[in-house]
Order: sequence, then C-alpha cells, then structure tokens
Amino acid sequence: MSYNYEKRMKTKNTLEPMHRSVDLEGRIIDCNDKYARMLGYVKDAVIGMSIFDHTPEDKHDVLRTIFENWKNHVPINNHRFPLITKSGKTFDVLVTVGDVTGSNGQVVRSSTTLLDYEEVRQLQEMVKLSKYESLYENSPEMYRTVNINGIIVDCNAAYCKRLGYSKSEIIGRNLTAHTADRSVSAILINMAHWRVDGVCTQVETWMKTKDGNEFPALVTPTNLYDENGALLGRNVVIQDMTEMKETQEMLEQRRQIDQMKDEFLTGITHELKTPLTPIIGFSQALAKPKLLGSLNARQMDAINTVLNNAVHLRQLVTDLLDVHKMELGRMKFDFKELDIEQLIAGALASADHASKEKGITITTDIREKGRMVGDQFRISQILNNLLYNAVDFTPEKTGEIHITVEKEGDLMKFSVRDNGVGIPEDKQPSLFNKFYQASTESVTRRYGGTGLGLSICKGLVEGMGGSIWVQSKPGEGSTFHFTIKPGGMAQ
Amino acid sequence: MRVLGVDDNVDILKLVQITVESLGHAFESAPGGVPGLDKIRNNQYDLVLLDLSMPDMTGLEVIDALVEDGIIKKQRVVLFTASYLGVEDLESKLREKGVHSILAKPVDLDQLMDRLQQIESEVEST
Repeated sequence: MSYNYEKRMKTKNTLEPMHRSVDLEGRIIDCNDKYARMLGYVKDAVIGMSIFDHTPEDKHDVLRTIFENWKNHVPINNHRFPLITKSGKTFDVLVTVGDVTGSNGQVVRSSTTLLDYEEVRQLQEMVKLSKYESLYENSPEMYRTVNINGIIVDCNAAYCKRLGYSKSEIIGRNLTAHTADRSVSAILINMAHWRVDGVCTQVETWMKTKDGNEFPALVTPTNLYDENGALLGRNVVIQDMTEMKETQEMLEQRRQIDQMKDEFLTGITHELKTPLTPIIGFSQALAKPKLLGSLNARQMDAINTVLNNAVHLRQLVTDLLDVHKMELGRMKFDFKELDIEQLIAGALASADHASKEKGITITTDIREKGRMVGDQFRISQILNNLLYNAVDFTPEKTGEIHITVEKEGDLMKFSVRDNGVGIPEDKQPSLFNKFYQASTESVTRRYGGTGLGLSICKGLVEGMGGSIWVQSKPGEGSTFHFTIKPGGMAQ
Repeated sequence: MRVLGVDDNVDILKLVQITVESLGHAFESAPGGVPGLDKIRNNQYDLVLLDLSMPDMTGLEVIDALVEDGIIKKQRVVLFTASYLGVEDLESKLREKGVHSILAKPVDLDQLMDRLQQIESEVEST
C-alpha cells in the first residue's frame, strides 16, 4: 500500500484530538484551534463560552451530572458524548477529563481531551474488518492501535493486562503515557519521522505499567490507511522483551567469563612454554658434544631424561590449550589446498625416529592422490597422534603399521592399522574420552601420554566435519579410522 | 656471519648464542625491541633472530619501523615466535614486508642449526 503525503495532509485535521480547558464554573478558558474549528468558531470566540453552549440541549442534564462528578473527583475516561456546532449540527466525541490543580492541591480547571468518535470508530472498524481481528484481541502478544498523533484508539486484552489498565483507561491516552521516561524522546522522534515519511520502523523501547514498573519491549508497527490511501494510524505489535533481555544479559556475562578464561589460559600457556624453551634447548645443547663439550654416559642419560620430561610437559601444555579451545568452541581451522602425499610423507617423517628405534615398519597405501582442501596442521596432528600411539603399542622388531588414504563418499578417510596389543571391546567406547588411557603401560611412551591425545583427535575431526572410530581385537592389533570433509564443515 | 639475537628472555639469548657460535658465527644480543632496533639501525648484520613478544617493543613493531626506515632488506630477519597461533595468517603479510622466514618456538636445536646453515649458504651465494 502506498502512502500519499498530500492525501494525509487533507485529512490531517480530522485526526488531531480536540482540547479544551474548563474552569469550575464550566467556562472554557482555553482550547486548541481544532476544537474551535470543529464547532464552527474562531478560537477567540470560544474563550469565555460555557460548555453548555457546545452541548445539545437535551443533554444538558447529563452534562450537569458529569460536571458535578468531575468536581467530586470521579474519573471520566472516554465518555461518549455529543457536541453541537455553531450551525446546530451534532457529532459524538470521546471525552477524557484530566485535572489541573493549584498550589494548594485543589482542582482549579480541567484539561479535557475530546476525540472525534468517527475517527476512533473508523480505526477500530479497520481492525475489526481485518481478518486478524481475533488474533489481535486474543493474541498473547500486546497489540495497540494509535492514530497519527500517537493517541491510542484500541488495544487488546494482553496489552491491558501487562500495562495494568482497563481498556477505558487506555483509549484516548497518548502512547507516551505508557512509555518509560528514558524512551519518551526516542518514541516522539520516531513518531515525528513516521508522520512525515510514513515509514514504520521496528524499535526497542521501554514501556511503563500503571504501577510505574518499566519493561523492555520490541515494537513492530504496521500502517493503517483509509480508502483513499491516506495514513490514519498504525497497528503495533509489542513483544515483552524482559525474559529475552535477561537471557541476553546472562549470555553476555557468560561470554565475558569464557573470554576471560580463554585469555587466561592462552596467557598461562605462553608463560608455561617460555621457560620450557631454554630447558629443552639447553638439554639438547648438552647432548651435543660440539656445543658444550662431552658428557659421560650417566650424565648423558640424565640429561636425556630431563629432555624427555620437558618435551612431555610441553605436549601437555599444548594439549590442554587445545582441549580448552574445543570446549569453548574456539578451535579455528585454516583450510587450504594441500597435497595428500606430502601430508602423509610429513607424518611419516615425524614418526620416523620413534619407529626406527623400535624396528617398526610403516607402509602406506595412498589410493586418493592429488590435492584436497583441509587444515594441514590439524590433520597432521591427528595422524601423528595415531602413529605415535601405534608405535607405542606395537611390539619391537615385528611391529607393522599401515596407513591408508581413500575417498569415502564426499569424505576423505584416513586409516592407521597396527599389529599391536589391540584394545578390549569394553574399553573401546571410552578411548576418546578425556584423560582415558587404555593401558597403564603407556607411562613408558615417548610421546604424548597426556591422556588427551585421542579426545583432541575426536574434537579436531568433528570440527572438520568428520568422525573417528576404532576397530580392534586384543592380540590382533587395532585400526583407527578418521574422516575429514574436504573444505571443512558444510555451512 | 654476523648474527644479532633480539629477545627479552636472556636464557634464550644465551642458548641461541651457544648455537650460533658453535657454527663459527659472530653473535651479538639485544635484550628487547628498542635496543634491538637501535643495533640494527647502526650496524650491518647478516641475520637477525627477532622475538615476537617483547614488552618494550614487539617484533612486529620492530619490523614496521624497519620497513619505514627502508632497511628491512639490509639483513635477513627471521621472526622467532613463541606460538604458531595467529602468526600463520601473518606469514604471507610478513614475507611481503620483507621478513625472511618464521621459526616457531620452542625451537628444536637441530631446526635452528639447519636454518642457520641454510641462511649461511644463501649469504655466501649472494
């Protein structure tokens, strides 16, 4: 539906509320231009007239009662009542009377708002005519309809309930009466823009209930037009954001705590690794006669023990950081094109020393040659981990390890088979848990032994869109398989 | 070769010194980014081993200062980093700036010696 500015201007006059201020004698001491115009006078002529002059004669008795009630502090909200113009025409208005009090707290005059009943009826009719009428009234969300000046002309039960007013207390009030002070200026600016360009924008605001409580709300307006396409007002859905805000705040707090933990762990890891650099470096230097002179056999054994333990400690620190990152979901992958044969060659090179020391043969069967997109560092980390495990649990001299790479559907599958001790079936499900070690013999392992290796592999593989599993029988060796989705996780 | 080590950890400097000198090269050290930059500006080295994380001036700041001075290529700069994290992404950018290569700490002594020998042969061939 298009919005026509000129058409709106034509009908604008009928959309403003009328105002008049009346003293205790029933004399009009002030009014707005529209009040005067609607009644067929100029403003100056109205001042000093009696409200009875603007009321059809047959209603004078009723008016007298209402007037007396007002002076006795009986509230008057949206009372339907006729007015009579200078030329004798009558029309209905909805009257809401507010008090203006003097310094001693006494009522000195009224501040009366009169809404053209026809306009209100038209807007309410539009709501009724729409196929959403029942949704409007019965919706658990709050609904209100306002005219172009922000006067509330209709609302639903949920709105009344949440705000704590009856419907008659709401109709005719300006929406700012239900807006928390902190949001009033923003709402007025929003409404001013809307009156000029007719563009409805969703806004977050703070509402105010009858008892003064404030709550956050999401306000989603839709324009209402008359049959000529002129803007009459807006229908507004209001969502109570209290719970969502609380959840958001809780999540934000949690995020901040996670970030602090993350920063702490990254920092502490760095601090722990820093002294390890000279420890490992000087141990290596001592083991090289060329650098610091020769050691005897016992001294060499001692320094190698220092070295092995320092390397183990370094691995532990690195693993802990990896586990922590995975728990926080902060593990990042660097997907790049990589050469599969080079990847396997790298893994073989890193296990070369350990396997030769035990006289273990490693063979490969790379069925899928060429390039794939993956995180080379992390895939190598998994392969190395599986290879070191295989070397550790495979007998000296007769040990055999076989690596296979093949395509399985759209996944790349890597398998590491050994002819080692194997893993009992009841222990297999726990293998990928943190700090689990299938065998206590692993204390003699050269690498890893942190109890984190396979759980890290599992986290890495899953982060790269694959899975990891084992096939094994005691005495018959084990085969660890893992798959990687080339290019990473599907989005 | 004339080698400069820039690191705020004196134990690491000592270790690098032993390694460099064992291969027959001359070694000088600077215990931070600021004195390191000063030495690079006033001397001619074949190789600078530069730590990344230093409290007075980071390795990256030293590199930027050298790029600004137009003397980044006066010697080979090998960035000596404590962690591969984050630096991998930086590697290509650093190479564009004129950094020779990156060596991740904790560095295996054999790796360091290999890198020194490799750079020595590069220096000799130029």
